[in-house]
Amino acid sequence: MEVGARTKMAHSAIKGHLEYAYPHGDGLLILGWCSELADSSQVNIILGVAEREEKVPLSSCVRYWRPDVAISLNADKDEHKALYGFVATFPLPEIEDEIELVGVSLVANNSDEDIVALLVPERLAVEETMRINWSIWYRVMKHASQTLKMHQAFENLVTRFGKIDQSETLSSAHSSHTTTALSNESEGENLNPLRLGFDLCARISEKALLVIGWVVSVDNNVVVSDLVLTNKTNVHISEDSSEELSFLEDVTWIPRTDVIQPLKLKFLNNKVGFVCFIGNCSLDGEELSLIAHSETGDSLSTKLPLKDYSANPFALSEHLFTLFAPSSDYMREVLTRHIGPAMKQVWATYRKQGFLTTSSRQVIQYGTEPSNPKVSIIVPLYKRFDFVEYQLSQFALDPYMKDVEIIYVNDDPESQAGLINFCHANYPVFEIPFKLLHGGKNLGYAGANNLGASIAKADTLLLLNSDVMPREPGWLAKMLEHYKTTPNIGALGARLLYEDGSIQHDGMTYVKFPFFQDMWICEHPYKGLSEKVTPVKPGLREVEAVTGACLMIDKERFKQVGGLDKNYILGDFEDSDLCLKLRVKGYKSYMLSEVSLYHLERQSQNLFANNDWKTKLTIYNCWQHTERWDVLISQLKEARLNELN
Amino acid sequence: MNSTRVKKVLIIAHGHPELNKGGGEIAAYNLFKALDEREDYEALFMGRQSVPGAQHGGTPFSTIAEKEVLFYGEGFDVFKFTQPNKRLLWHNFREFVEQFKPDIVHFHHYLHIGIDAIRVVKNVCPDAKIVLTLHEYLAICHNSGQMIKTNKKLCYQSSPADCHRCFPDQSPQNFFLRELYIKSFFKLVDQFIAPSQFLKDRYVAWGLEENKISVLENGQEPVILERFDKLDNSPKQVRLAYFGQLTQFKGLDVLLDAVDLLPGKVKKRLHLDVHGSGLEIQPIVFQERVTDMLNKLSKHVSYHGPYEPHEMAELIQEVDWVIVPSSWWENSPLVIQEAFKNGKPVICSDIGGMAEKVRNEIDGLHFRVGKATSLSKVLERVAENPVLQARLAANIKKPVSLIESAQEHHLLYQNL
Repeated sequence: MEVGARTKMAHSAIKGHLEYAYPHGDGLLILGWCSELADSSQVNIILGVAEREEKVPLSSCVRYWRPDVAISLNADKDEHKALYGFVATFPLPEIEDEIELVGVSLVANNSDEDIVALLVPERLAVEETMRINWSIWYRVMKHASQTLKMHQAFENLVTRFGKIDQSETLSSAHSSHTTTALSNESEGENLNPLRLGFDLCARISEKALLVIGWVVSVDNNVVVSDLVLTNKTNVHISEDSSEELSFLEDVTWIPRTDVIQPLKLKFLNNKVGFVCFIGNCSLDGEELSLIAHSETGDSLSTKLPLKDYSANPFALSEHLFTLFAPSSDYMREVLTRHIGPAMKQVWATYRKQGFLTTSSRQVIQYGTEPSNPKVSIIVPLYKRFDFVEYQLSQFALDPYMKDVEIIYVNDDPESQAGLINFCHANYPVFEIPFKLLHGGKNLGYAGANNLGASIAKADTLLLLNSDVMPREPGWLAKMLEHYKTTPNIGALGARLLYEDGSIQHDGMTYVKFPFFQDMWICEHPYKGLSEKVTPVKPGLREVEAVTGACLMIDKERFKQVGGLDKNYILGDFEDSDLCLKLRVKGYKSYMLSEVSLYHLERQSQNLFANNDWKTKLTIYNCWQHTERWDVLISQLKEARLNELN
Repeated sequence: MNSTRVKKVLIIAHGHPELNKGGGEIAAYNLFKALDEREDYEALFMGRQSVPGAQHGGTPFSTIAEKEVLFYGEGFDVFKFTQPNKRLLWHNFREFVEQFKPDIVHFHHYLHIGIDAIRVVKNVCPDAKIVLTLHEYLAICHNSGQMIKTNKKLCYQSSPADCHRCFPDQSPQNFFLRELYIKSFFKLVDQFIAPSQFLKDRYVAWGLEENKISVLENGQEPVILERFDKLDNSPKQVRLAYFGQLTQFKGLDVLLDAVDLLPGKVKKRLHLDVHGSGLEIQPIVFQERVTDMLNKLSKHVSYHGPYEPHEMAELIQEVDWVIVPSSWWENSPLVIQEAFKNGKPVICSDIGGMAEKVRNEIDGLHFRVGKATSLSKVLERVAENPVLQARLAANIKKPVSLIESAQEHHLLYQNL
């Protein structure tokens, strides 16, 4: 929040901050925030302009809602209480081209020492340097109280700068650095038709950047001819062109209603927002500029601060996926050409730092392990571990379990101590031997399962979710028997039921999901139907894929295909990925529906309306999965179709 | 089962009658005493005591009498009935069972010891037979085992989704897990005992096997006949009595409302004695209502406060009718047994265990549950027809004695 202002916090009772100063035709507009004193009439805003000093009491300024300030002050966030923001106007008659600002400060009446904040002197040119910061403006508009809206100054602002549509915006609220220049259009002079703004410039790696922003020409006859990145300090001096990188040709254009609306203009096309992954950017320096050029020779620049996301895939994805709506028709191209490659690089860097690998394998054995286990069950645990007690109570009823190795993999270092106590207390009640394995860090679903497999003794594995409960004793014996007698079997799954007895899983099929622009997703046919309506087909049947919640697989085959893939961020699609990897090697996936267990799946993802960040991460995983497997899945679907005919 | 040698029975209750005077504790204790008196049985009794200062250091056990052991338990998980102090189970309790080597472990309750104690018994003495007497509907219903919804309506069947509706902060999945968990221990029980057919039917509907539940009534101490005074045949007033905790679901408010509804001259022909306590821990609204009504009806209703179980016989003999106006299903209320034992007919709600134990127009009268108007009509009828009492009293069946009950249990144990 700077735009040419520096502030100083004095040691006083007032807390405040001056954020913007806008010169306009009638005077000066100051935006800032100030926390209340017991008596706000004690606070004045003092403006030093040229040789004059103007004083305006804070209580006469228009106040507006600033929840962000409330949060940082640890105060009440209520819309009627957190009116920390203020808009102060200073009418300055005979305003010229420039305002020479000596300073602006917040002062409490009772003491001259009580200077809160100071704006350093600056020359504010009336015409050129009128800036709008979209995010602050948006916030003011969105949360302006009725009082504010009725204030004359506010009306003037609105007239001049236009309303912003509150109902829909992709990123206005988040684009904190969008800048552009607006000129006094009614003057009819030779005006720059270009408008330029940016949302994000992320450093992906030493050489790679991801730039997201927007550029328009308000004159339909003038076309944007180039977009350029440069690290030149003064963009107006032409230097060697190797300091520049032109990227207009590589962008994907996306619509930006949040930009178009306030400008109240009609455009010939939807080329407003741009997304660009620049894989080979040799520009050095932390301070870049973005320049837009028009065919007619206009150009406009803005500073482009870089945010380093090169080793932080979670922050990057969180930021990225708040900028886009998943069901937009441009998403797939944006993923394939820009976001996908960017995320991939960042994730690879993250992995290289060793977050997902461990050489530590802490194993605690409870009870005496079976000497020759027939199956090794691997159950990853994350935070909630009371499931262990419920599973043990069910295992205790099944005599087959005495020949089974049970491995609980704790994937949450913070709960290790509590979990150890829990196991120590509960093991002797049920007397079912099991291992507690911990890798010392949070490896993720794939990492935890792979870790479990690395110490498993049996030659057949069963991947089992912690919230899956066996229904009848003998379920595992049945699965193993079928597994061992079926040639070329990769993954074997069982029927899974919700707590009300309806079907949660009975094999998975691939479906092109129209809301994700026809990328493949795994569907669970018959999900939610009762067993009465979908009776069991006895025996094995081949399916396209099987869920990882209950998946039997030969240990060697698991290792042969590299276990579960760690490139799916925060889990998703690993089970499908595994089944397809097996298929490539000639191993098929099967279902044994006559075996059923309960799967207490908490909630299914709302695939339609949810703009939540995690949903968007799923879309990235979905895209990765489709990139990798589109061809194979299409072949598989065609083969099955032919079979049916 | 080998019938020549003496059988060792461990009876586990959730309290000891000297410390807690509940019906369940008394029933368990009576069974213990009656079995132990037989030559073919040796019995031990184990119950909970709740005073932390009264226990020894380093062990949860203490002894109250030669064959009566107490264990100290606290922090019991009332959602899934597990013992929070697991070591108590797999170390102390295990040691105890290993030493005693019971042939039969009869859980009269699993509260406070923990339902997982059943698993420990199975681990330690795999050949011992396990019997469980069911009280209330605890395994089925999280609302204190009463099968009443949290909006006061009667509940007929549980399900994870419905239970979640009663208790929104427990997910349906949690209720499902609770049921799965409890049933995993119930699978280890050789035979269940239900004191009423009604209760048995509820548990069968919940999923227990029909032939695994036997209906056995709780035994009663015999009544000392000399105290059975003949009352004046034409009393001036018909005397009624209410016995029991003054809880919401025992229906005292319904009864007081019913008395209030009576016309003045009818009121004069009745008198109601209220015996019991526990009003101060009820919701404020209920407390206030009852107190107001007691004050209003003070000419016709006397509140006597708490009573000792052994006083019950005397108190019942002074009245003509006993009223059990509970608004929940009940199982086999001790009050009804006591009333019958002392030859008094019962007026009760027309649902659940009450309606089963009291036969309408035969040894008692029913009224529509929760409806003061319905009860009021019955009271009026009773007031206007004093001979009704003697007619119904004549039909009362003799209750099962303690010795008979012990014999019934013995036959059950034999068939395991």
